[in-house]
Amino acid sequence: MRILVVDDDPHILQLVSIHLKKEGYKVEQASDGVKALQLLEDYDVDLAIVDVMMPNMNGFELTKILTNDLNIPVILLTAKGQLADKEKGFLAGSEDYIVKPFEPKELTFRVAVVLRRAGRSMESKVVAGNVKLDRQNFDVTINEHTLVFPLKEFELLSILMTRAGKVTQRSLLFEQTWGANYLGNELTLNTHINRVRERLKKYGATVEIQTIRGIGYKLEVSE
Amino acid sequence: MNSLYRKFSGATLVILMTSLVVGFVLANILYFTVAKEKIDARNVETAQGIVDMLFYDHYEQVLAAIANLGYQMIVVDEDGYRETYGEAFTNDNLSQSAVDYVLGGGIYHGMENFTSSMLMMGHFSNSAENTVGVPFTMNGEQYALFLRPDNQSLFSDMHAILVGFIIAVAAVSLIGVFIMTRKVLRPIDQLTEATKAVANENYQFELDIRRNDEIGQLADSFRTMQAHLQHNNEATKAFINNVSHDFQSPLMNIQGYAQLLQNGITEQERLEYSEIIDRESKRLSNLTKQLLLLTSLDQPSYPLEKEAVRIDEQLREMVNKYRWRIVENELELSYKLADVTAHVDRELMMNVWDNILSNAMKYTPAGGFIELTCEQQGEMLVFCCQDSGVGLSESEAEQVFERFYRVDEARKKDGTGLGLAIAKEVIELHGGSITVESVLGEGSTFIVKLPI
Repeated sequence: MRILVVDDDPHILQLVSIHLKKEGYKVEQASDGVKALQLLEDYDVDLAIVDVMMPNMNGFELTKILTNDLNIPVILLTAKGQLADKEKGFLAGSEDYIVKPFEPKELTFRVAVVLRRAGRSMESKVVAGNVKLDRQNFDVTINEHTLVFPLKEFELLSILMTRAGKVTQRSLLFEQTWGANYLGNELTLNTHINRVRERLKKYGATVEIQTIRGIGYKLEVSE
Repeated sequence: MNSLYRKFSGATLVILMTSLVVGFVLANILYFTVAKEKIDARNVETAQGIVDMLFYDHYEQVLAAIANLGYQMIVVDEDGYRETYGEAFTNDNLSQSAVDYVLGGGIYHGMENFTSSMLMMGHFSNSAENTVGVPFTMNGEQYALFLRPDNQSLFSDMHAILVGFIIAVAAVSLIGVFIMTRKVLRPIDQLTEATKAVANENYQFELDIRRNDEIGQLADSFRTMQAHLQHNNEATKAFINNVSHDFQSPLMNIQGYAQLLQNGITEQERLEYSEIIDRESKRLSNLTKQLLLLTSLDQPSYPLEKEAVRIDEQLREMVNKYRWRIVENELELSYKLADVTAHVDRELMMNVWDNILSNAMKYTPAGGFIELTCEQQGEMLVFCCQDSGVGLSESEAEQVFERFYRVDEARKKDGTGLGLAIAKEVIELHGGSITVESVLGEGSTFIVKLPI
């Protein structure tokens, strides 16, 4: 995965790059919008992190070009209170933004979320029984209670819900959630599934994850 | 102090003098315009009454008897012979023309026309000119009777009494003013003392003034001010103590671990030390920001920039911001947020939610849950943040909104002890309330009520 970082402040540029590299991403740096667009002639990137306040071309303009013309998801960096309501509306679509100052971990978390979201062209909202999934926000709503799910658990539930009533093989769950090259043991999957079950039960969900011995799992809507 | 005494006494004397002069002038005006004429007319009447009673054979006895009643009289016959009855005139200067005029049948209005250098006091002038004269006939001869009431003795007695009266009034007034001044000045002296004490930061000075007048009110205000100053003084000292402690300890850590980093250390130590430096510098940065906010909130006229804010959206934004931490700390966060719009200061409210949620995350161990709800109850927004964290004891719950109060005495968790104090201040600025219900070891629920 390659990420483009655009910021006129060299320190922030470096800081963001270091944290992203530590997470295993390849990083390209640009100090303004024009240079960013030049860079894109040579590289394909999966995601761009763009500062709003920049000389030459501001972050919003660059974001428009990146999302509309080049189809690259963008995370905007903004100062506190810098966003007017109109601009927030503009961001409400596929974009995400982070208010400065932010924790490096907040940034890497958002990056992971946006990359996941961009990697799949699934329906953004899935419903089964009284459980609703919002892939946009990674929210799970059960009985009007919205829960913050850990990413992996969300991923598992999301796959099972889209295939509600059908048996899903363990290998597919592994591949979709941890990636094809993951060599984790079987227990990890069990643990995660069990946590999802607990949460569903606790909030009174009308869906149930059944274990199909030797094959995988099946999500059923109970009456 | 002396000058006030002098001023009051002087003022009293001046007032007395002025009133005497003004009174005298007014009395004179009255005397000259009305009284003088009336007195003259009355005396003419009396004189005419007397002459009607006179007969040649006993007129001398009658006049002597009348003189005894308090009159001075002169009888002049056609030959110019004068006989005086009663007290002698001091100034026997009755003019011949006046005598001739009366003998010729006219009435002499000496009292009405008499002028004296003593103005009104001329009324009492024992002068033959200051009389009324009437003609009368006795045995076919013309006589003239000049008469005035003998008020010489009366006057001198009255004079003494009047002077005594004025002196007494003046003396009593002066003494009264002196005592009054003392009564007024004593509390002022005490207030001066107290002010000096306060200027020297002695807030314990006991001001012993209990009265119901304006000075009593001043003393009450002074005591209130004293109490406030004392409280402020203590608060400021405690505040400075706290601030310097809270600044010093992270600085010490940063310095100490930065020095350790300069020596040969293992990779693991390096990570550990730099993490400490990172955490401590964050704490310092937070502390400065929060202190700044708190101080500006303390200003009596903090400008709240109120606007319609979707509180549920703010809360979602907050959850989004901390999603990574919720996941990393393995917390279970759920929320149920009704669409509620409130008129609030957007940034300040964001700060409140941030402080409450950060607290909940900080004090809830892995596997615990946090639940946020917000709903509208009548004209109020009710927000609850319930966690299954460490909870608070009763005494901790009481103090948790105090500045620099920290449950975690050892200060192992990062935090400034100001977050909830700020939250409380902001919410109260908006006319709302924040409370906490907590059971030690089981968790806490923070409840915010805000007018919409």
